[in-house]
Parts: sequence; structure tokens; C-alpha cells
Amino acid sequence: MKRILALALACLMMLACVSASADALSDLQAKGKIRVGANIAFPPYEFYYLNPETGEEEICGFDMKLAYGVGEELGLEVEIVDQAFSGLITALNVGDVDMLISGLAVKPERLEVVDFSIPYFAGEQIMLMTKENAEQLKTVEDMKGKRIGAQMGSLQAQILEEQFPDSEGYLIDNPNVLALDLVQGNIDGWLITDLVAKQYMAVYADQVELVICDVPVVYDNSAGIAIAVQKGDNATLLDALNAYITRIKEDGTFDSWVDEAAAQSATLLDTSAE
Amino acid sequence: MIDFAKAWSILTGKFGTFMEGVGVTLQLAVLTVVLGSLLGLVVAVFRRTRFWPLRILMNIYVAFIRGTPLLVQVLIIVYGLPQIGFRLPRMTLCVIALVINSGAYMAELIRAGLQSVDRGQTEAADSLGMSASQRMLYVILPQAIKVTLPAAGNEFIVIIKESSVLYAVGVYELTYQAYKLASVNYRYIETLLDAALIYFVLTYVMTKLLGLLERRLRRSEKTSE
Repeated sequence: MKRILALALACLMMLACVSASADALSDLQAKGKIRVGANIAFPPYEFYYLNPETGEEEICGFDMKLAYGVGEELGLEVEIVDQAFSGLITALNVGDVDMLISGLAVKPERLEVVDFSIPYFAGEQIMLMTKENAEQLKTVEDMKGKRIGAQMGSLQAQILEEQFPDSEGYLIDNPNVLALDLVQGNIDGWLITDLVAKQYMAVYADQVELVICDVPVVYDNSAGIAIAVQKGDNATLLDALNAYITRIKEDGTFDSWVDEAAAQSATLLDTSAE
Repeated sequence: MIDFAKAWSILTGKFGTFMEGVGVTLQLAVLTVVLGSLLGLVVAVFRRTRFWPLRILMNIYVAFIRGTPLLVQVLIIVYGLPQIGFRLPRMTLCVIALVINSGAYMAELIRAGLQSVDRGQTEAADSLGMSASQRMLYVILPQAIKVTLPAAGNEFIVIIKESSVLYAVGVYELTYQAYKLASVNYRYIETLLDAALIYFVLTYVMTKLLGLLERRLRRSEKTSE
């Protein structure tokens, strides 16, 4: 028994050593591959897209373009790992993935556990409602006792807790399910990023009219969303990422990705509606 | 690394949150076991009727529920019923899903209970001139229920554990609460270990209580003989 315990301890210590090795960038280059964690259910950030030309399912969205771009920049192969959003940071910190590109907003609590690149995008946070609800619910006060949905572990979940303490919070991992909850009336409002909201407004247009309601959503948008990497000796990696982000933002590459992703996810809606 | 000190501080620091979850979990388990037993009883009795369409229907129900995962059943009921017009509160839908699931298992347990009643009892009831329904209601069923009671208690424990799948549809039970805590403290393993510990305490205590009940039932058996 003692021997088994000692062995287990030794294994744990070895694991600890592996995760705290030298420079993050050279580690990745030694592996030749980066594993990028994302929650692929967030059009147009990241989503599964059935390419009408090849008939094959692809992982698309501007986050994913960025992931592949980073791979190309660093000369590494990219593997996308689809994961529940709320588990992303843990997956990064246990070394299951090497970086996160998943519309991850820079938040103080997250900064304590991971490091971020410079932001590459900033979405607006809004509350989505059925038109019927939106006519009655216009202020934070109106939301008292109402049920508000948000994705578990997200920036919106935090907004929900801080700004709507008198409302009932409803947290779910999957945005698709939250949309269904909103349409079916299980929640009264849904805190979400504007770009994503627009997708779902279009998806359900034939069933119910969803609108961005008047309830004010206050948040600090200066931080934006960024690439997350494990804490540790990651200065060279972050430098490389930051230089790359600055470049694609300046030369308009990133904006073209956003447009492309929006167009793709719009056709995605067309095909799914058929 | 698993930080047990951290796990303990999460457990004590967020004890209220965990207990909220325990409350919902127990509420679900109690409702389900009571309603599920009733459903199971009806199904088990119907499976013995001479009216064969009913019998076949019940067999299909039991086979289907036992042959599909609980999570899938829950998702179908919780998102399917509202889609066809039954807009019920989320909790109600979840109880319906659990009861439908548990009813099938209870039906099997009760069937075993019914079969365990000696054939002589049926003959005795017949010789007294009882009708088939009287025989079932006054002779067979009471004895079968007594045999099934411990198994129903076991089902209670099973539901405490299995109701954890409801976190996926946003029911504020224990797993949901733990998952929610973990999504903001980023301490998955520690927080879920806490939840596991609480589940274990719940089920362990229940098992012990059931053991007492079973012994009590056996005692009454001896004195009645």
C-alpha cells in the first residue's frame, strides 16, 4: 500500500514538473503542434459549418481563422479541441490544450489563473428577448424575479450576477439550448454578445420575433476578448501572438475574417432552415 | 494537482450553495420515488391483465425506457413537451421525465414482487370466491408491496445519483450548483469532489436507514408466522 502511494506521489510530482517546464513557445515548437481549446457553438465566433461545395463539416468562424493563422505564423500544426465553455480554462491549466481562442473576454478573475494576449475583438453585450417580453421589460427593476439566461462561466454570467442580483440566474453550457429556452419561454431574457444574438434572431425568425431589449447591460468593454495561455514562462509566446494580432488587425485581415464568418454562418442558417 | 485544502475551503465557504442543491436533489428524489412507484404499480398490474393490447403497450413502455439513456429521455421531455404545446415549469417537466423513467424500473421491481407471492395465495383467494380485482387488491398486492419496499428505497438512492443529469437542463440541483461554482472558481476537480462527498454522505445515510427498515420488516415477518 505504501509503495503504491509513493509511486502515485512520484507520478504526481513528475506531472507537476512537466507542466512547469521551460519556455512555452519552444515547448510548442518542440511538439510541432498546438492544441487550441474552443467551445464550437458560438456563431460567428466559432461554429460547425457544412461546406456546400465539399459536403464536409468544417470548423469555421473568425476565432478559428485566428487559430489557424497563429499556427501558420508559428509554423505549427493546429488541432482544435471542442469543449464545454465553462471547462475551457481548466483544460488549459491542466495542459489538455495549449491555448484558448473562444471569444474569451479578459476578466480580472481569469487574469489570476491564465495569461492573455492583447485583445483582438470586442463585442457588445446585450439582452435578447421575445418582442412580447421586451414591450414590458425595459429596466433592471423590471427584471426583478424574472429568469435570465447566460452561458455558464461566461462574461455574461458574471454580468448577470453583478447587475441582476434580484433576478433568477439560469446558467447553461450550450448557447443553442439557451436560445431554445428563450423561444420556449423558460427564460425571460438572455444575456449574450450582439453578434451571436443576431444569429439566433435570424434562426428563430419564422417562429418568434426576438429583439435586443431596452434593459441596459453595463459592462467594461475596454478589455475585449483575447487568446489565453497558461501562466508561466510565456513571454516569447505572448510577444509572438501580440505581434501577429497587431499585424492582422492593422492590415484588415481580421476584419475580413469577421465578415467572412458572418456570411458563412448566415448561409448556415439558410441550410438548417430547409 | 488536487488541492484538498482548497476543496475543503470551497465546501465550507460555499456550504449554503451546496445545500441549496441538496434540497432540490432530495425534492426531486422524493417526488420521483413516490410518483414513480405509483406509476410502476399501475404498469406492473396492467402487465398482468388479460387485455393484451394494454399488456403489450406496457411492455413496450418498459422496454423503451430501460433501453434508452436517461439524459436523452430528459432532453426529449424537457424540450419536446413545450414544443408540442405543454408549457410547464422546468421543475415539473423534469419530475415528469424522472417519473417516466423511474416508473419503468419500479414496474420491473414490482413485477418481481408480484411473482414472489406464492401461488397458493391466489388459489386461496379463489377458493374464498374473490374476484380477480379483489384478489389482486387485498391478497397479492399487499404482500408484493412489502417485498418491493426495500427495492423502492434503493430506487430512491439511484434517483439521488441519477438526477445529476438534470444539471444539463439547468435544474438547480447539487451537480448544477457544483458545476456553477467551478465555472467561476476554476477549481473543477476540487469542487466536484465536494459534490461527490455530499452525494456519498446522502446515499450512505440512506442505505443505512434502509437497512434498518428492512430489518424491521423482517421482524414483522417472523411474528406473523
